[in-house]
Amino acid sequence: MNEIDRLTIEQAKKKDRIAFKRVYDFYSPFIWKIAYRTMHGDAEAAGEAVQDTFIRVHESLHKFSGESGLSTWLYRIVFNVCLTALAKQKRTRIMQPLDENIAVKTSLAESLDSKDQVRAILASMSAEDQFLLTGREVLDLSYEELAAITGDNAGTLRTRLSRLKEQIRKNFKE
Amino acid sequence: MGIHNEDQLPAGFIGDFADIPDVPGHLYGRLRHGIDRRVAVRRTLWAVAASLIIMVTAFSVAHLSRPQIASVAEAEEELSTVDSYINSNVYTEDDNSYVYYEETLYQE
Repeated sequence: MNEIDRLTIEQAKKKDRIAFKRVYDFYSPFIWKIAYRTMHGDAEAAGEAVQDTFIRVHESLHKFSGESGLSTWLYRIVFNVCLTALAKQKRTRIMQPLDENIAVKTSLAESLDSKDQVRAILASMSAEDQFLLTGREVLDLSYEELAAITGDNAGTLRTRLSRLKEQIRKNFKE
Repeated sequence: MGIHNEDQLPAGFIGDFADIPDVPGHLYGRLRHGIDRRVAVRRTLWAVAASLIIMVTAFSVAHLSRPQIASVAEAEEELSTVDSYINSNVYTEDDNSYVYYEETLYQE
C-alpha cells in the first residue's frame, strides 16, 4: 500500500503534533477497518483498539527503523492490540450469564438473511482469521505483508486463507 | 455452473464483509486527550522522582559529613576530652575568663 512521506514520519518521531495528526489521518481508516473486523464488528471495542494502537505509536515511533513500511508496523501493532483486547474480553465473558449467548443464537437461527449469515460465519471465525480475511480481501495486502505482520510463513497463510474461503463458500447461501 | 475461482468469495458475502463504517470522527480528539494526559502524568512522575533523588542525595551528603561516633564509650571519651580542653584553656580559676582576660590585659 501507499505510505506517507518520510519527512512527516521523521517529524512525527520528534513528537510534532501536526505531523502525528497527518500520520493518524493517513493510516487510521486502514487501522480502523482491521480493528473493526478483528474485534467482530464491535465499534466501541474497535475504537479502543485504534486509540491504543496510536498511543503505542506515539510512544514508540522513534524506534521505527523504516526497514518495513510504516503500514506493516502499524498493522502489527493493531493486530497485537486486538488479540490482547479479545483475550481480556474472553476472560470477562466467562463471568456473564449464559442466557445472553442463547438469545443471540436463537435470533440468528430464526432469520438467516445475507447479513445474518455473514454475521454467523464471522462469529464462528477466530480473530486471526478475520484479520487475515480483512487484510487480504478489504485492504488488498499481499501474503508477504500479512506474513510480516503475523510472523507466519506466507505459504502457510495462503493455505489457511484458501481453506477459510472454501468453508465460507460452503456455508454461505446466496 | 461456470468454472469456479477457488480464491474468490461469494459476492454477497464479500459485499457485507467489506461494508465497514467510517472511522468515528470523535476518535482523534479522544486519542489526543489520552496522549496529553499520559504525557502530563509522565512529567509529574519524573518531577517527583527528581525531587526524591535530590532529597536523598542532600540527606546522604549531610549525614556523611557529620562526625561519626562508633560507640557510647567513644562518645564519652570525646566529651571528656572536650571538657578537659575547656577547663584548661577557656575558664580561669575563678570561672570568669572575661575578668581574667581584662586583668591580664591591664597588667601588661
